[in-house]
Amino acid sequence: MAPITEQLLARRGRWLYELGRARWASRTVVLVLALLVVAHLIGRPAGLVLGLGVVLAIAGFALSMLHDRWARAFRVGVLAGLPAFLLPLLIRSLDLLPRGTGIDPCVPASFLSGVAAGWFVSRRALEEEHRLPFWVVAVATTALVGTLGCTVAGGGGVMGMVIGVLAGSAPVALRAGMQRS
Amino acid sequence: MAALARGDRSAFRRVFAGLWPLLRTFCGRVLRDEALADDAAQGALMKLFLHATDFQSEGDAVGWALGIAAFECRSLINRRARRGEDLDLGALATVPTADPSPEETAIRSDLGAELRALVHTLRPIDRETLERALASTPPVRRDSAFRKRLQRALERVRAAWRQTHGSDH
Repeated sequence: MAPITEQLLARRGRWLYELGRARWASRTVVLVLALLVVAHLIGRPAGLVLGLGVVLAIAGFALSMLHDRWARAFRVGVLAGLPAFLLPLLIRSLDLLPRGTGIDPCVPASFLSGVAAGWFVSRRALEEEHRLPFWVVAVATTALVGTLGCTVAGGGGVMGMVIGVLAGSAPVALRAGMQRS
Repeated sequence: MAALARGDRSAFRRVFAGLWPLLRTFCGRVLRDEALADDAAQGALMKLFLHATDFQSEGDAVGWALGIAAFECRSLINRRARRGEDLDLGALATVPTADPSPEETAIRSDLGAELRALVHTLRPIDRETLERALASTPPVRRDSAFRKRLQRALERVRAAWRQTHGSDH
């Protein structure tokens, strides 16, 4: 190896650091891919899976590259979005709720999944140093993952899930605010 | 190091400034070769940054870095040994060669001159016997009388050498 200056050595080191970080961040893409395969297997529309999949994969990779806290927020968001992703599909396929009430059963299912996701994400955000950015990233991820499943109930399902996330987060946020004051 | 592992890029300079001299010194002490130590320390530092994200925050950064450096030093030593580059000057000096060294040539030259001077002090019959014995052509017929004369001539050479140099060698 030819003798090189410390500046050049530092630059090479920085490149290798980013390379190592990219390798680490690519694990998130594997997680997203697994999720997309499941979505495809349970019969979700290919366009939706592909569109949301690309957004999720890019977001997951970029957030993991940036910092561990954003990678954590993304993972928490994916985990919180799983009930919203699977529950409406389960209810519809197993016919668990009676029809004929005028409301698609997937809408309340999406709402309830959203409440659970909102509560979980908010509780995790309280353990973080940067709570609000963590919550925003995690909720955005939850919304994307949940949308993969909630669209079985159309726009109403998505809306139900988003309202549920906000409803689930509100008590935790209020309690944290009261403890602070 | 823990901050860098988490993705805090602002820690990079501090990690570099702290670990590079440490790795350089460590490799220098292990390898005792400036150029090789530079190679090993650079290799270790690059590997360290490549795997920085895998560093566990509760771990010992210096121990981790020195572990990588030790592995790098060992790899370099093994690679060099495989290429046969690890022969030092002392080992090279023991390698036999077909030609005599300059030192050996000088010693032989001195001994030859000494021996020739000594032969001139012998009696003519002894001198002639030795010349005939050493001459390659024509081959000497080594009968018992000649062998006896040669033995006596050699004994006189030995005695004269001992008298001059104090030993048979």
